[in-house]
Amino acid sequence: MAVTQTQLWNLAKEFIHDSGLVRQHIDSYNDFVERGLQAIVDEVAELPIDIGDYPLRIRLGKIEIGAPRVIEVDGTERSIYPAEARIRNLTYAAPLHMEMIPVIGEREGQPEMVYIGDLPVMLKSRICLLSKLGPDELIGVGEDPIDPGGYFIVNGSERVIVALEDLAANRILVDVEHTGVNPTYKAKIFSTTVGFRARIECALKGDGGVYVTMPGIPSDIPFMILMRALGFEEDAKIAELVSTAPHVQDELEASYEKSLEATNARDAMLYLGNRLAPGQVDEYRLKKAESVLDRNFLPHLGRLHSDRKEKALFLAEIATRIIEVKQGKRSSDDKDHYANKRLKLAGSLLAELFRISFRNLTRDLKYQLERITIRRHIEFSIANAIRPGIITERVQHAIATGNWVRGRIGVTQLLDRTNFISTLSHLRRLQSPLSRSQPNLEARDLHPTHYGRLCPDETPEGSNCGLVKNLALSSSISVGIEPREMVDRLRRMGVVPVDEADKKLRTTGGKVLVDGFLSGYAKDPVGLAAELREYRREGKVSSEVNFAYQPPETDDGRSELHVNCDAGRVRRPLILVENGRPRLTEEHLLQLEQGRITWQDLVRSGIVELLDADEEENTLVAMYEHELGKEHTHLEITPYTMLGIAASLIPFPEHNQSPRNAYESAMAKQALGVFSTNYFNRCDSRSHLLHYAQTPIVQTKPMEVFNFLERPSGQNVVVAILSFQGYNMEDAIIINKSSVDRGLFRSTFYRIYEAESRQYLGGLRDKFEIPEAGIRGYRGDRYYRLIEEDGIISPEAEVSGNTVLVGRTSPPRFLEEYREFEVKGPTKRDSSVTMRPSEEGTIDQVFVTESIEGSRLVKVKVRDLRIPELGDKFASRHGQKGVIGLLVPQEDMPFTVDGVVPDVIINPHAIPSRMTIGQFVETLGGKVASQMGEIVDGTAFENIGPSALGDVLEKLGFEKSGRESLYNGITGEKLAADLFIGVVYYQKLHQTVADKMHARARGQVQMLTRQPTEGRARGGGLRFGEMERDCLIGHGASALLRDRLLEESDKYTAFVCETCGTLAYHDIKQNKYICKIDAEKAVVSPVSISYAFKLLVQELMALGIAPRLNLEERA
Amino acid sequence: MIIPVRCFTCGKLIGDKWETFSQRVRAGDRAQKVLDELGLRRYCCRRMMITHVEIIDEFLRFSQVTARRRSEIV
Amino acid sequence: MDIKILTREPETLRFILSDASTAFANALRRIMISEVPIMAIDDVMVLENNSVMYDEILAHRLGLVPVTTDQSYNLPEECSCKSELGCEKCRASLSLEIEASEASEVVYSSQLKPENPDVRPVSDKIPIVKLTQGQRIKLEAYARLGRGRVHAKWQPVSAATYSYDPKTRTFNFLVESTGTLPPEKLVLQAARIISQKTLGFEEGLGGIGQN
Repeated sequence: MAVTQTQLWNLAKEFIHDSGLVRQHIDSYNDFVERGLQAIVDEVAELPIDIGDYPLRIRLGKIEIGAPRVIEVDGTERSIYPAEARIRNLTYAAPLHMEMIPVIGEREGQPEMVYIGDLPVMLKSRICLLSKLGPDELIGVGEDPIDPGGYFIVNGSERVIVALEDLAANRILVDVEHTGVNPTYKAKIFSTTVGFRARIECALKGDGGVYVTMPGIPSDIPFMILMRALGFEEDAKIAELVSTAPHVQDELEASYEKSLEATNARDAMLYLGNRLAPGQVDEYRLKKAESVLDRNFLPHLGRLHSDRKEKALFLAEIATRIIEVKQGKRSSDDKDHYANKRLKLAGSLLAELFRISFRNLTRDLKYQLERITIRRHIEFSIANAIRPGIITERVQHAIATGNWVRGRIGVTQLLDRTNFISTLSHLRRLQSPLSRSQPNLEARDLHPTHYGRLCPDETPEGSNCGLVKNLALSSSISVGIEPREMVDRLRRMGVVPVDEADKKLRTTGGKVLVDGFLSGYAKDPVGLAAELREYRREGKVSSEVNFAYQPPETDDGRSELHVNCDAGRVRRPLILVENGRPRLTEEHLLQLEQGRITWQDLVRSGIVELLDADEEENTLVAMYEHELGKEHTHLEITPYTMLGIAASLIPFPEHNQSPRNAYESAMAKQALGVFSTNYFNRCDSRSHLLHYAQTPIVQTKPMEVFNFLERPSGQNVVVAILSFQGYNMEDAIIINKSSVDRGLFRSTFYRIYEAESRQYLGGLRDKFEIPEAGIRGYRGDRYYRLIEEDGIISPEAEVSGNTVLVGRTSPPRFLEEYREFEVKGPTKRDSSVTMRPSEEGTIDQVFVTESIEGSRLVKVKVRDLRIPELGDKFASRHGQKGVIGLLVPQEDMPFTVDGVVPDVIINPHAIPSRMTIGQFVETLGGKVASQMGEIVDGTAFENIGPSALGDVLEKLGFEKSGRESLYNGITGEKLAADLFIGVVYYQKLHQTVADKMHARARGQVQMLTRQPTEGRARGGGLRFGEMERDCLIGHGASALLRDRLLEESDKYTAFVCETCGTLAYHDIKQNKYICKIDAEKAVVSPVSISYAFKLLVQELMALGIAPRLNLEERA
Repeated sequence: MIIPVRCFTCGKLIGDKWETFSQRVRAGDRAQKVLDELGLRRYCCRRMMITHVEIIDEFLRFSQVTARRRSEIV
Repeated sequence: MDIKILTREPETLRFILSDASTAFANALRRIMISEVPIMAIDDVMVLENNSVMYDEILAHRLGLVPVTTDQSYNLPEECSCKSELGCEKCRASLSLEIEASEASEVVYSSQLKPENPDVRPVSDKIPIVKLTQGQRIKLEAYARLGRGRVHAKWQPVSAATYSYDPKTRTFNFLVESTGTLPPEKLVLQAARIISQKTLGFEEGLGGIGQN
């Protein structure tokens, strides 16, 4: 093949473009809109309406979704684009219409298309208006032409549905638990149908019996009883179903014994009924048991009476596996193996949500219709009886808050718009439902099957480490096809269904499992797998399907062929290899370059294929072509696409210690840059823009595909490594003040302030105006100085802390309070929107618009120039972060003969323990690139490397090592040692001193405890904590301690009764100190205590504990 | 955004050299040669040219659309 | 001390300073960077600006545009006017008024109209901002004398550096001007500042020497 790295990169790029960086969300959403919605409607199909005399049903027909639109207060309907939704706090949603047909008796009435609610539209999905626009048109509607989409806009804020990583549904996973004396063998199945999930557990316990648990039945059910209830009465038949092997059948002995109380189907059903409705009549118990069995037991196989046989077969298969694991014929399943994981994306999560709200809608419709028709007995209209708000509000509320069905929280998050990388990375994030408070050690580990699917570097530190993951560039998520198709094909290819298989086939053949369901036996599973794969490569079978052959683990074990058709499998592309030669030829790559073929063409013609973790177990993959041998089945495309978005930014990452790459992956998302080109018509509550963003001078190949070069987030600076007067100790950095003067790392910070004039009950409403002096809450003239007659500040005004941006008056909160005393009617109160106390800036833009309720909405954007200052945080791309420790004028900086001075000086101690050699290589690369006038490629694993860079430097007339001799700028002497100096890409992180610095002398206190408030936003105090207290005690500085913690804090004079030790009080009317307990005998003394202590005493009293303060004369 | 007026590091005037640089490089000249001829010897000044992104053009496109719309209405 | 000029170009000067101490050579270098007063735009009155660039960025860019220095102006802090705004003797104004008529129009430094032709941008081709049809900028900029110590825009050199041989005490100097003053003038000015400082020091000593 003899292809170049560039050509392979072109292939990888073609794959990434084909699958798109956020395609997983968009595909999943499209699938939901096109298939999922209708499936949920069809599930209900018909609504019986009980109205006594005549039989009325509502038949549900087709569901249709329109185009995104908004209904204004005056009832006009307009189509909207996302830009408007963001500014006006609207929801970007489209209306759903459903066909409803009333059926009276058997006669169908007139079908009605009824509006049933709004569904939020995912940006760039098929129904999104943006998906049909070209770059220029996108600009025309106010969108950044390279915005990825894949998120929702609800009430003006951008929400992402974070993909959920879950155990595969409908699969049998056997695990061994070593909690008791004897190990327990447990199989878990998450049986899932649209929107319903039943957790079925089946365990082989210490007593040898097999038991099943399922939702709806509180206790364990013996396996045999359940089998009988499902219609298999004879012991022999059950044993036969479980296995043909005698040693497996023998293991069931204990289970027979546990089921002696129910030996036929009816008794078994009654046994279940007893657990559900004890003490009821047989009829009722039977009915109840049957319904629970059909609805809650393995619902993915169907929820009808007729599905019981399949369920029995599945249950038998569960038992087989447990027993095999116990007997050591099969190892327990690896829960962390990626073949056992599925990603739940926007589509399936929305389906769950929609299903619940749709059910609510139909229930409400039924109720409304029953009410209306019973009362009037006349013509009715479905449209009048339906309340579309049920769906609209439920779905919107869930997306807006992240509170999903079944109490799951945090499903959606506010899209991170710090920079372009953070946005993309956020859209490719996965969350594991495992609790972060538990160790879950194995689940957090990197698993070999993650290779090429998930990024090994990009995961947070701390509690979420290893639970939050990010997709690798080379991953693609299956959308899935109907398994029915595959089952039919398999049958035609000679797979014998379970109940038709003879004993011989069952003993010698391989099991064929389609999406985890045993659909039959194959004589030659290996051959079948090969044949199926060839079909797929020829395009006769969907490329979505994967086939994995699992050989028997012992001589008498059985082999399995897994056919996976389901959605949410993470797959990765590989080049096919035949007889040690890749099927991909140079010709293909050439055609690809010329645009004559696409990635899909290569997939269809079986040159490349996407494998899930299950099928990958059957492969031997070579990394490079020259490593190929006869035994290889596949070849990697490129090695560096195993990384995710953030880790792909790091140049020469293979030279770094791995945690450093993980730190950088986190920090890249905090770097300031150009997050969007339409920033001026966006209303992010806070955002930053770096003025002179540069592309890195040392780049990586993947940067190209995620547009980092168009939306960069950093600048190239000249970095020297030197301990300069100690001002860069402890990871501080020294910056050239003159560079800062010339615009280095300048950025603008934006904050949006919002004001709405709300309408209240009783016709009162807020008013934007200049509040009159003297009304409640008036802040003082000077704060209102800048607002105009309409109450709104004008652009380019300079504002500082507490300045009023929008003057607003509101009606009093409690009307009654005022009516009694005031003649003029209720007074207004000032509810103006002011600047945050600690911020300042210039008014950038003012948006005046109307909210969905029709009230006036004002958004004021304030910008503030942020020039780097002492304490601002910066980082290179190698997890080397630091804050500015000193700004040095240029004349004091060390200089070279050519007149180069460093922009940044970092301390040499930052290097040895962290081993970020990648930064050294980048430094060399930066220098080479500047001199050569072209970018140096620092892509992971495939780059020029440090020694070659050194050689180039030497040729350019520099020192090979990257060192140069410099002169001390202060003394003029030559520095004793040569310095390592070069160009490195640095990032300004969003944690700036201006946002954090805070001090307080006096200020607000909390009402309850009278202690200073907490936090900068509230002008809070700085905590003088226990350790500080210990310090003062240690120094014996008791007067200072008393001053800090009492006098200057929450000093309070309490009156205490000396005789009984309880709190007394001062009665003003009698001018007497009173103790309720001792009355006349009381001797009351004033005591200085902390108010918080007085509160504690009183709270203890409220709990029924009586603390006593025993007073003594001061010594 | 737009080419900085001066090199951040040394203060050399570079703003007036950007257009020549970008035009010549686009025309196919070797960047190294162009930089040498423009008198940008130090690597600090050279990186200003090599890594500059003229994002203002993208910002302007939005204003252009608005301006065009306005003229269409008139 | 001995000086030998090696090359002399409009903006760069190379010379050898021999038989000098490091302290002297470095003082010369440092003064060239931070103390030789030159002119730069210091105040900008933005009357109109509906471009995509904020006033503060625009002003910052204008400040960095090197302008030729007319040394007849007073340093603002030494000027007799004592006014914050300045007077004719301590400031020179440049004005810019432009409305774009094309879809993408670059505003160059040449469009800054100097009040005094001796205080004008050193290069005509510095892009200040880009405008699109209908965008207007109208501003008045005031250039003043200042020192590099205060802000880098008043630094007259983009390189003032040397290499030296400690044995022979020779310094190979490179002075690269930003164009505001010719490099030889800069060196001269720096030398003068050193001598003024010494004189000032001598005066400060005052009577001590005599007694």
